[in-house]
Amino acid sequence: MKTKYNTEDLVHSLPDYISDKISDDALITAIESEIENNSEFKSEYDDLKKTFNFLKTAELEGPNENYFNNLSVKINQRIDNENVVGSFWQRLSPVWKILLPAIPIIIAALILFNVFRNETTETKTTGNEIQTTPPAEKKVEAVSPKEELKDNSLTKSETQVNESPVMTGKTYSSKEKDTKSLQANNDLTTDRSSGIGLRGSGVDLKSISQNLNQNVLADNIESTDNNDEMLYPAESDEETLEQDFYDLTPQQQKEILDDLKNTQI
Amino acid sequence: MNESNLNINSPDDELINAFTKGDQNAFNLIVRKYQKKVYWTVRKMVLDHDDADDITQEVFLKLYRSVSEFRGESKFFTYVYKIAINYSLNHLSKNKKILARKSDMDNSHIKSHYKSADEDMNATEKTRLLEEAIESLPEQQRAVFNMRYYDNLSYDEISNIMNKSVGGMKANYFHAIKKLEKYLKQHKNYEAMEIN
Repeated sequence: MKTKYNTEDLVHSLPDYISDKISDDALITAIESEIENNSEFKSEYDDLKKTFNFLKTAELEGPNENYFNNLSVKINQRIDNENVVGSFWQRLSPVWKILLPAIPIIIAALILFNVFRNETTETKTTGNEIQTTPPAEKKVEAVSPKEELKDNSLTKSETQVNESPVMTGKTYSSKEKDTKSLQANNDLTTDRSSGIGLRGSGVDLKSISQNLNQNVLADNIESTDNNDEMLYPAESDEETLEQDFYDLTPQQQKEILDDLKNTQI
Repeated sequence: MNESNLNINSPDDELINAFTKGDQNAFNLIVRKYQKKVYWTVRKMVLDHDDADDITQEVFLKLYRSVSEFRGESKFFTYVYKIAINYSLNHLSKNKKILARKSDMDNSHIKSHYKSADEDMNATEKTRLLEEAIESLPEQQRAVFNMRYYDNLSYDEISNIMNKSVGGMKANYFHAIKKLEKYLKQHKNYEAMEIN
């Protein structure tokens, strides 16, 4: 018998046929015809029927009687708990509603900023250490006139400062301080052991001046921007020093001159 | 209808309207009206009572929060049912590994138990075998089987809930039954049962 249903349709409809859930008479007729005429289909039908019979006799064990009486109470309790949380939020002013979620973000941002800043400081320190000990031969191509000017000043200052340790007087302490700072940072500015000065040493002054600019100037000169005369002695200073020298006793003058001789400058 | 006249048999739309207007009692009536259906829908999916209890409460909490979103495009219970099925499927996906491990342990124990038994299966054994058989179904087939066999939902409703085609759901139901059959046939006592 030919129908509008193919075998797959009929097979897939078998479970509904067995449990009486098909309302289409034509489909029911087609299934019954297939059961009668097709042994394989009949076998499938028998297996499924047995499964359905088992399903009818087996039931899941339900909860006790009181369960459903208490269920709505439990649900209402959970709703109340949610409402408590909800009402707390609703009571907050709009400002706090924005601020509360923002607080953890701000704290995290501050922590990150501090960590970043510490790392940057460490990097800078490390960078400076590297820059303070370059080979003396290192050359720097471009140096601005301003930097050159500073180079000259520094050379002059350095030379004069080298002469000044033997002097005593009012201006000595501040100059000694600056001199020590210069010396500490820049043994490379002059080869003292050989007694060769900057000009005649063959040392690249531009390289040195750059290092000086980055280190000494940054640390010392910039902090005394308005007091350059302290580092670079003016003529009046020299006169003062000269006057100081003449004010000394002959014995003291002799000691200084002896010291100067010993320095072999 | 006056709000005070509402009862558990009141139409869904009246209960929903009353609840959306702030009548808390209307929601309690909705809970009482559908709690058993929701519980059993979930229970047949997850099988464990404690899990079913927890998920049922979650379903009604979700309903409490979102009942105003119900637009009446389908039956209210279909809307509730959809929430229950989705929550159950989510639970099954989350606990897939745990359930698989538990099922393996239980199966080894049950199979040996049934092989040694000569007498027919009693009701408890049948229940246990049924639970195991349902547990052997993949999540989607389990959902379709429950909806069609136990809850008598039409394929249109099932396809609406599962967002799949009607033909696909029909085939899914057939394969679910075949899988149950295959599982049941592994047990000697099932073959010996006179259930024709």
